[in-house]
Amino acid sequence: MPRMGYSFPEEVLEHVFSFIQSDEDRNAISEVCRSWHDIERWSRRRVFVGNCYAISPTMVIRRFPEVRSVKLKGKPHFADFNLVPEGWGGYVAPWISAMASAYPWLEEIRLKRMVITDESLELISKSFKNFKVLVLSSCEGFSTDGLAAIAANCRNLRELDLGESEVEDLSGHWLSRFPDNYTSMVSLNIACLGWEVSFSALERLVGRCPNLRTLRLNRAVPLDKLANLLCRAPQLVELGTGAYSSELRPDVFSNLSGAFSGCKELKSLSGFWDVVPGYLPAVYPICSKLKSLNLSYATIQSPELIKLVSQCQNLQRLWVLDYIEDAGLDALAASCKDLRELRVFPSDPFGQEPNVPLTEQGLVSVSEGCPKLQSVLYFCRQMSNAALMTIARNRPNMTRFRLCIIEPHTPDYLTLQPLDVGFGAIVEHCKDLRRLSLSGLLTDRVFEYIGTHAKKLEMLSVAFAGESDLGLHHILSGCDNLRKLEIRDCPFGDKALLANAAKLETMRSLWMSSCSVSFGACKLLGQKMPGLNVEVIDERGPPDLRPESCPIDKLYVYRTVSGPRFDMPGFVWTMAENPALRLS
Amino acid sequence: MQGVVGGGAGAVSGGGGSSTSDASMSTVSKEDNPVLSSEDSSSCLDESELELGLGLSLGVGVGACKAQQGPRGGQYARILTAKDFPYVGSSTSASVSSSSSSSSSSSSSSLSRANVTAGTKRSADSVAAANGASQVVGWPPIRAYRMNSLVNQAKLPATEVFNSLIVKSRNSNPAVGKGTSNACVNANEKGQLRSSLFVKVNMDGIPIGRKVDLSSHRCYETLAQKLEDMFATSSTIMNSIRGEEHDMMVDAITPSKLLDGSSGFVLTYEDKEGDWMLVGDVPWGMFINSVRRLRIMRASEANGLAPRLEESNGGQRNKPI
Repeated sequence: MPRMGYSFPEEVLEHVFSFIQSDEDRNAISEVCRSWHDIERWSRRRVFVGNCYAISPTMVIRRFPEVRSVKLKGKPHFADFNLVPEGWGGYVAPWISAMASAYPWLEEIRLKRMVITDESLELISKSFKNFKVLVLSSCEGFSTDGLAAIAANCRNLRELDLGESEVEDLSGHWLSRFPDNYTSMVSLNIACLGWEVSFSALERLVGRCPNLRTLRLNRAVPLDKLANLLCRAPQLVELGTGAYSSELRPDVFSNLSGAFSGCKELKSLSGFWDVVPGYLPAVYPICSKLKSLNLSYATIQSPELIKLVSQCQNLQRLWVLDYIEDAGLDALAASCKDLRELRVFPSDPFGQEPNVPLTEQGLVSVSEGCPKLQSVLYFCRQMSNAALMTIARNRPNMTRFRLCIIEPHTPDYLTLQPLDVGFGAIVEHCKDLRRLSLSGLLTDRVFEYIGTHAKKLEMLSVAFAGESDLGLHHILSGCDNLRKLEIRDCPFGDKALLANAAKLETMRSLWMSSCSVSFGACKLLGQKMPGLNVEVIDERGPPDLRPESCPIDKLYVYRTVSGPRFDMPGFVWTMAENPALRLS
Repeated sequence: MQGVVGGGAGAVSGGGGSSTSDASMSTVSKEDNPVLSSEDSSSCLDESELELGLGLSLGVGVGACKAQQGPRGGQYARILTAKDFPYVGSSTSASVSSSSSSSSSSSSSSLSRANVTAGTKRSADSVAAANGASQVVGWPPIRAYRMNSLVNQAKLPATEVFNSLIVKSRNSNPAVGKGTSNACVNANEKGQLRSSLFVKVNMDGIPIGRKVDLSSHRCYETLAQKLEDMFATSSTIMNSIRGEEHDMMVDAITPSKLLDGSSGFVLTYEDKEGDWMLVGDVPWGMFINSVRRLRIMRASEANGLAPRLEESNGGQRNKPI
């Protein structure tokens, strides 16, 4: 490699670069000069591909030959809500087989919303001798057989996290495939598994892994066995219980309480399915140390929730059902001054009438009482512009604000006006807002506010809002840092989309479903923008059998350097320059 | 919200620069950021239609789109804006475009759902109506994982009975977890908790499976029809691409071909115990409660419905010790 007389030797530069972890910084480094580009690419160890179709595995491997950690994301976010039909894509197999030969020293694979088969899992377990971390978040396509291969072959595994994946449960014996001399587990999350795993194998595993810090059990692990596990792992930092119900028996209670008391490092709790409230006090001894509490599956009523939460003075994150009520949120605001993140989920999402007294007031209280609150996900049934303005003024440090008013098109319940000015206040005051989800009755005006003020916004979710293309135009022309935009059931059509086509190349992806985008516009977009894949998803059949002006069902546009993909199912079409490619 | 673009030429660029604080859209000359010049636009984009101001008329040919699902296309008039509704709350009818997620006899919030989204004919209700569901797909935005847990811990009057059933059955049945999006109890009867009930469907010979929402059906006929539509599409498309002969149904199918076996395929399901059964033998409600997934099987393989089938992962489940 040509070397300038005055520059540092490669080794020194490499050493310096090793302190630089962030992708942005590394990308900047690689643009300084050719030799820095080369040194950087040989020393990059972590790669994050936010859309697995944006680039091919070959291209990644060619540029970064010595990668140790890979993170990939597949399906669009709306797949979580069943808006992306089964079979759309997100297959990880080509990546695994390419990496199996190219990265023998790969240590970490993290996947989100991807389809992974047992064959791929087996390939992983046999190809990477130093494999340490497998995180499968909202993935599917595999069974416990694949997990058995991982358990049996990955001697250095530290982390196995199945997230909220859909796993075909064939046998609980897979856990027994960890060899007796395997002791390196640090983090195990099997909360998503529907069936029982072999409890004795679990117990033995927990008992022989001294570095185990995170253990998230599945619902099938009964409460009376929990104490046992905890006694074998008093060093646990994060625990997810199984079902938290049992007949109320004093011996079970005291065992449990004692076991919890013995866990001096416990900072995070989750699980709590089927809660029997009488057992809640068992966790009281550790409440004051808790930083994260996920009670979002716990059907506990407000008084018990208040008792619990009031003891968690160091709480930073709370996920809870709306059973907490406004009163409980008041108590939260009074007790948990370090709260950073709040998520309130609906206990009865399809009910017509509110089933619990949880309103906008609860959120206002928390915004007043918790100065560090920056991340909110809140489901409720009523909201007012006044409340939103108060929240905005209280918490200019808000970075993630996702509000879901359950009934679409719900206006300000006090004035019956749209909620435009309320959300406008949010984007105006919260200058660092990175993520926003809208709901309620909204006109184009709210998008004007967003386009004007939300300059740091990276992800926006819109549903049942707006009146015309002007709304979409405001977003696309105003939000300078927008990366992901997902829209459903809004009257946005062709104009704003086509007028802002170039913007789409600066974003990761755009999703539009049940809007008014015509097939003709999609074709035009695909023809004009070779750097984008314009995917039309329509289960009614080929869109060219209908008039061009006919709206399509779903549109997914994303930037890519590897052209149209070839693994599409029969109901997805890519609009491309070459019409012959269209049906591939 | 003002902003009328003067004169037609040129497209409006995306990204920074062109939006000003009064939210007007400025025209951008071709040098700035040529996106789509008016000459290039197809008939979809009329120069004058780039005037996105108030009272814009669409003018795009609407055509008679025959869509299978609900009213679509034929009713575009103007794009309505806030000016058309000086007082949103005053509008009378909850029109066709209003959200369907509340029942027609819903409460005061229906007043507000004026015609603000009249521009969208593909509104949620047409989708929902076509699905035969009174719920909008994917709304409220809650993950299936969470939804299942919710349903299974429903605070319904039957909850105590229900929970104890779960506790009792835990020894012999899987605890209810995510699995294949099953709902343990059909809470639909109470009209309270309804959730999507997506189950996987595989058809012999087609590598890619699909998912169908059982909660949007009330009887076997509509389910069978939906499946036939779903797989007829896949099979015709795949046939046309591959140009091969396939042993599948490609012609138009009358409703009960799947149910009466006359198509050469039978519809089967795997129940909670892991057994494969013929669809249609038990009452619908019982079926909903026990189905885990569906399979459209070649009739030749379905004789007597032998318990062991050519599933890639077998049909039996091993009980752990």
